[in-house]
Amino acid sequence: MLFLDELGEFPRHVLDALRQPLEEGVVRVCRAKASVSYPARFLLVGATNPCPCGEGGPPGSCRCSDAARARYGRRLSGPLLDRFDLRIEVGRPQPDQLLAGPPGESTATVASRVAAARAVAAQRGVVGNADLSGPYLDEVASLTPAAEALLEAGLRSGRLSGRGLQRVRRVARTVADLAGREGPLEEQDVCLALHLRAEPSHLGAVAA
Amino acid sequence: MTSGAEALPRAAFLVALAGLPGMGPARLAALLGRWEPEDAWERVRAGVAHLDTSVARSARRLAPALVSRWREDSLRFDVAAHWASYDAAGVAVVSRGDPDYPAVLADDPEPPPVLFHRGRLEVLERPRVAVVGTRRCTHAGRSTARRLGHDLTAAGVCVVSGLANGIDAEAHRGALAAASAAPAAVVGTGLDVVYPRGNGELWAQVGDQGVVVSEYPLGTRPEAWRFPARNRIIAALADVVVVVESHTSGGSLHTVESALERGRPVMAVPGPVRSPASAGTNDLLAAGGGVVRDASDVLLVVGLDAAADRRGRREHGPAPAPPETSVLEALGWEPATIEQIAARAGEPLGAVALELSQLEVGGQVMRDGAWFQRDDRSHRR
Repeated sequence: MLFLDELGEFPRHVLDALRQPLEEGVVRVCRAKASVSYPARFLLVGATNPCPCGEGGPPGSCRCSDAARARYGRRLSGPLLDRFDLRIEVGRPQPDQLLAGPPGESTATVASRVAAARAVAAQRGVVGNADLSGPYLDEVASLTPAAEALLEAGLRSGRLSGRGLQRVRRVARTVADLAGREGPLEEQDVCLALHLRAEPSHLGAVAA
Repeated sequence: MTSGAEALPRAAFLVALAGLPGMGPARLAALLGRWEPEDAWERVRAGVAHLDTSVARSARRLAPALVSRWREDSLRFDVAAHWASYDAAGVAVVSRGDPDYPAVLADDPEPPPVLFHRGRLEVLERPRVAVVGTRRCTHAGRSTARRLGHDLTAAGVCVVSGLANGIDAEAHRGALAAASAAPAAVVGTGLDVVYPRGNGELWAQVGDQGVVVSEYPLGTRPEAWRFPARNRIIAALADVVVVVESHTSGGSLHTVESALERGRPVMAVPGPVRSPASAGTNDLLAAGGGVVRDASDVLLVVGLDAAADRRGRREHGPAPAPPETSVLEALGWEPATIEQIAARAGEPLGAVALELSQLEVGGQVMRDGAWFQRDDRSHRR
């Protein structure tokens, strides 16, 4: 697992160097006489502020100028963002929620649900659904007509790229696994997967 | 266009003077206050403009270096070619005293000495309402600005704004969508320097159907200090200034200040008390600004018959109120994330995501990144 905090502060060429290992799972080092490949399967987690002021929050609350936001957003290239399966904007919790909100689920409950989903993935012969590929993905992550229509609309509107499509299906499979649903992916699974891959509002329109 | 200097119109010398280095509105006003443009141009060429006592007194620091620079530049300057470039760009110019110069500006304490414009200056003869606000606006603010722009225009008002991103742009979009569109924009750059660059199409449309004006010559780059000056022209043109959304500081409050100096009524659209984008406008209301709920509130102040507008709305009939679902109720009227909505509604994320996307297609909800907001699209055109 590789965790990059303050993703936006890394030079862009450093981040873009991650694209190839992310896609192929190997790091290739090429020198004049030899070329060596090292295995590099890793889970990439990145965290970044939404903009220089770090205010985040609902639309209209940020103090940055348009130019500053655009400059900050340009650090993260579209192709790199496209390789993240999950892109989640974490809002600032409201004070009343922190003090008096209903308690969330315990970590143990969530962990058991994750373990169950992992077990389902293991039955498919992979560690996680992210490793499902090609024809096998079509088989285990088939779509109900409604779910298919949803993806088609996403592709047509340009919110979803070809690479993104497969990624959304894998995430949707996991959503269904976590909910304990078998069979073809339903509309709500795909819808949530699309949402979890949201275009970050501060980065402008980036194809999912 | 002939090349003989004697055949050149008065305006050609106006743009020549305005195009000199360091020639801001104050110095231009001083020169034009004393001479006709052609005479002023001759005096600049002779390097004697600063010797006149009334000019020396009113123009800001006419340093000898600047006078000699004007002289050098003006001797090399091709007035005819320069004028032809304005003609080619479709940009005309009027100065104070011209019959076409907007009457409302002629009486202003700080009138722009010249006004470059593309489009029909006559639209400024209508009642004028400035619809302005922050660039960092919410979706609700955008939608309100668009609706005000439309409804005011439909009632015969010329909607004036600044072609900035956010509220300004939406007010113009709404105005353009009305049948008798006649929007006016005041910009802080040369009319060939589109700023912000993304608004090029809107900029052109406003010029085609209404007018875009600037007190700066072609080629003037966007600079921060020019925008307050631009805002003063917006305030000077407007019979009423309406602020849709504003933070506690920002350009629209500049426009408000300029409006108050001129005794123009200032009105504001109330917003949620927790929305930073409404903090400035709510302050205006607390200080006694007029409340704007819809166009009729403004029309009443401008003196246009708002009853006709209300009748019109009744004929169309209000859109049938859609049923209030638990997700809509949980969303409320402030932006919220899907997690917040799911927690409030007590429903699983997947179901909430699905319902939100359906509501989005249905136009009841609008999404901005991870944030969802309610949208009243029955008001949209």
